[in-house]
Amino acid sequence: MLKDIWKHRTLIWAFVKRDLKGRYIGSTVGFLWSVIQPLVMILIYAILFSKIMQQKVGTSNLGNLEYVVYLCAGILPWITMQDTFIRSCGVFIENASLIKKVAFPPVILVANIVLAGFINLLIGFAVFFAVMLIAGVKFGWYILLFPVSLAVFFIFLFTFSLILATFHIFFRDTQQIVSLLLTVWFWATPIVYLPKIIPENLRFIIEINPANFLINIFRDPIYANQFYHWREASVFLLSTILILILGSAMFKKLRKHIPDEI
Amino acid sequence: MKSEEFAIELANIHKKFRIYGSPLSRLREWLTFGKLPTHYDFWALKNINLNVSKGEAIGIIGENGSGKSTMLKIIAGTTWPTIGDVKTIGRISALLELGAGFHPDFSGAQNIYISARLIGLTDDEIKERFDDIVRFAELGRFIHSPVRTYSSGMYVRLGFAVAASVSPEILIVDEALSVGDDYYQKKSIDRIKKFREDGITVLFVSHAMPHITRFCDRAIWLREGIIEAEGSAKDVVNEYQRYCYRHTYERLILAGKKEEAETLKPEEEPILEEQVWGSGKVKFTRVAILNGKGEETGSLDLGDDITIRQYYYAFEKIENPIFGLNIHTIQGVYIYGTNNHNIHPRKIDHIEGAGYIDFKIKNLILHKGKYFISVMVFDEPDDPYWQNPLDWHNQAYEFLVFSPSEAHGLVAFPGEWSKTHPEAECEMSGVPEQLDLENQWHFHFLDSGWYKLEKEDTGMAFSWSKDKGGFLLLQSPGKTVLELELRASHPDLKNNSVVVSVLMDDEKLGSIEINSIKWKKHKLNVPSVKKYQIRRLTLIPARIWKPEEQGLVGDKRSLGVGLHTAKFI
Repeated sequence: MLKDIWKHRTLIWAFVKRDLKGRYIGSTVGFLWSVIQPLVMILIYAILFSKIMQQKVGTSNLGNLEYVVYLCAGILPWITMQDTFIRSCGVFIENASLIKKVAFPPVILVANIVLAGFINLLIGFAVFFAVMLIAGVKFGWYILLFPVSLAVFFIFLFTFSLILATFHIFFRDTQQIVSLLLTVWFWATPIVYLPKIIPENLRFIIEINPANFLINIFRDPIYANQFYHWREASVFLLSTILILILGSAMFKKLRKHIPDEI
Repeated sequence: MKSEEFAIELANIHKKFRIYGSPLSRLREWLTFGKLPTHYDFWALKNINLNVSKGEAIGIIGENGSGKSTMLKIIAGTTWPTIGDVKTIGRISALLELGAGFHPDFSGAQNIYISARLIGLTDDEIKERFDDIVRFAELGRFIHSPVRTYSSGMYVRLGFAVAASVSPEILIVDEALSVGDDYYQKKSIDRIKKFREDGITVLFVSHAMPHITRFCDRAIWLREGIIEAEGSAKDVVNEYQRYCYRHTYERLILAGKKEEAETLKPEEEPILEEQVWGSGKVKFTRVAILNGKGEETGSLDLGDDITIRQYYYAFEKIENPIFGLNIHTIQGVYIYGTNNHNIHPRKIDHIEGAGYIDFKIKNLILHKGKYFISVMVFDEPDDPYWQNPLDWHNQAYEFLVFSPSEAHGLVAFPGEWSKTHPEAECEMSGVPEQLDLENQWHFHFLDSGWYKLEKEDTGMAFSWSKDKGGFLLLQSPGKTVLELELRASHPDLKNNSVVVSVLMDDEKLGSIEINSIKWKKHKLNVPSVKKYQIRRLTLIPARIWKPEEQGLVGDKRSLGVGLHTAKFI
């Protein structure tokens, strides 16, 4: 499977470019939209929460923008994940004619979606860091771990996108279920709110919520300026890799049925 | 021939599709690890063996749903056979769907890059061939407009141009020529011809039979997943067209559209074989058809006399020539053949220069229709296969026969009916004592409700009743139990069984509840008989299901219950 991806890397890249460009084709500023959209979102958060609502977190030395940093470190990856998963579910069905009529490995369609989503995430973070630095936020040294966080997140995205894409072929309800589940999960995870507002007796939900591990991978270096929670992070990474191995095995087994089922 | 010389080798290919009643039934099957199978298997291809030599062009014909596309996909590598081996040598370009992967918002040029990469060209190759592609597609300045603004003709032109740029070793063409205007068709046909000249192996699927005969050396006819016929393109196309013609004709007749059946369009007539061949030492110069009054005509009445007058010109002296003559129906059925050698012997000393010879048939007992005459002449009476004629005009002349409208069948044999003979013993040898669809394929139906006999690959045979199915069975003295082996395939069988009412001689015997997709024997008591008696048995399932309504597009059957064996015990 990895061999297929490597072999078709130029094709994947062409697809990704088409995907990113295709969204805004025909519009006047084109690709700039993918910068403008996160920019406006982050500016609204920054103004709303630092000037008007003055949301205080009070655990870091990031000044009055600290809630914005807290929020963005969680919400940017979450939005990427949500978009990527939902798009992945439909990808094989939407490209049925390609899979059925042109002999090429379907896995590159998933790789394309994950890469496109990931590039949008990079743009989002670039805009975020630019705005924060201009506003005078001083990040700590642990920010240097940010690329590591991105790498782990990428593996995670690819793993589950592949599994969901395959699953959706056989159970066409997958996309709806995933979309609903992610909405519920979003509010079950401290992304917009702080863990401390949860009553003590319910806080275990956050502690066992795997999405919390995912968000912390970004929040630790960016917001909390500390090394990853050693145990959480390694469990998260190892289980992701394990699921990737199992998922690829499943994919390999079901691969032959894909053209017949879509 | 050594195996290296084959470009494509298909050995014992089978392809199975699992057909699930509903998405939930698949989930149920998975969750029970296959212990509760809820699908039935549909074999799209059965035991396909085919070797294609390098540089050969093979036509694949057959009705829709006969497995053609599945076979091409297996060769193209977009899907896999369930059983069997596929071997292909060389780069394959599949014109399965022109313009697959085009993005409507991108320009033609941008789409060329993506699409060409998709089918396996490298960046450098695309750059090198880009101008050729644009030139072939003839899009002019539109090459930089979004593809969504293209007409369908422009779209397929571009798709074809990209696919044809691959320089493949094996080219697969699936109905790619059926779209687009005449100009495009001619252009793409020329391109494919060029591929042929370059020695590229071509697989060609088309419903346009002239394309098949023009391009292909060999053809195969797929019917319900098996190779029905294989051979020279001409022969196979002929055979297939006759089948199609008969099929359409019968359907129209059954539907009561007799007039429509009589006026089937000319292109549905069989393609006639090569019209004229021979050494040319003698030439038929004209063939005239005369009626009983000696008038030249193209149409005759039933019972008329017909004279077929063959004018010839012998360029040299031919000793003891043999004249021959055949008559075919429009469907290509060979109904009559004669010659002056051993059928209607008459020694002809010699022919030289111009002349004519008559063959007269008295009392033409053919019914209404169009008939074709072939005439031939030989100089070698011992020519064993009639292969080296001096001249042969094959099905080149035609005549029409008119008969009263109540006439049936092809010929009007003189005949008469006897009176009835009630004193005779009952003859029962035509009625079986037991039905076993494994071995027995023809049995007596009372109703036309049985859908059709279907043979499964596991060796089982069964038939599905529609809403009512019936058959005859012989009951011998001493047997008091009727045993029926039945199954059903309803998707919701587990929760909702199918009740089948069993009628014997129109009286209800009892009901059987079927809740399994597996064959199961059911017993019903029947009154005993003193002597052999023919029983009329009817099965009426309480409900039927239609795969098409469950999302199985194209499966138009109505399925009730399947019957495997039936007997009195």
